Amino acid sequence: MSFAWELIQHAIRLLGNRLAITVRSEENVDLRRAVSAAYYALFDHLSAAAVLQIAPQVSPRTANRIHRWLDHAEMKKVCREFAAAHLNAPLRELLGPTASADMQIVASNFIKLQEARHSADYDPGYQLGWEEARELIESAVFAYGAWERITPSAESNIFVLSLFLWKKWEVVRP
Amino acid sequence: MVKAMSAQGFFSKSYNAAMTTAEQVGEQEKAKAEAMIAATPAFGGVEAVSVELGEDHTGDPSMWIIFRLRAGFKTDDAWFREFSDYSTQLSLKLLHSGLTRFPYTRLESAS
Repeated sequence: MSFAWELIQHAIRLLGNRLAITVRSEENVDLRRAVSAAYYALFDHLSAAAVLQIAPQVSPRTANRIHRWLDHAEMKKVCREFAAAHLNAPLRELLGPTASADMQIVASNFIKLQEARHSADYDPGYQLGWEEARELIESAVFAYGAWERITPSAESNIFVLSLFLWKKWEVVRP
Repeated sequence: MVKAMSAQGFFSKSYNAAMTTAEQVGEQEKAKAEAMIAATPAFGGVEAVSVELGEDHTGDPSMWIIFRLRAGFKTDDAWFREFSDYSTQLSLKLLHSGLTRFPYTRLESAS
């Protein structure tokens, strides 16, 4: 089960109306939470899809446990590989020379949103304006749409497997 | 004592040389990104684009492409959809040009 779309709607509610927002700190907190929700919307969407692809028959309780196996830093590494101009081993052998344009959109926007979410949640000096928060929500929606266009496919299967197996694949890489 | 000082000087020199090389690579990548951005059609409402170097939250050397909106420019949903596509494609274009730093894009409101 995924809360991705609910999180996007939550982010939009926090964003509020541009005309009503000044740069008061309490509103900056709303913008920060909106960015965080936008990242988690994409994270939740990808991780729910991952669980559905590798374990479609498990109970919701087991699905939640598998969901938690995913590691944010590892997901960034995998996305960096898929966003590259040329795939490296083992992805090149599995998918060919390059990921699809939509896969690259998913991967690059995931990396961007993860960085923004980290700044929004942990960096008190992060200067976040309404337009930037709005654009980051759009990036999540854009990546969400790109993922829908490549699912189901062999590429999405390999991406999902990479999310779980990257550490192992890094070890066996030549 | 003299030998110890020499060793310290040697390692200090090596360390500084390595730092200089990393900084030089960063500056070269920044210049390359700036040239590519200058050659890319500007996006409506964007007054200026700047490039900054730094590290992301995982410590990876990174690059930030900062788009500054023109004062008084009115954005709407369609503008954000098109800008998101534009900034993603630009980021991928820069990444695919051989940059080692991930090009993060940011949108700065007009002050």
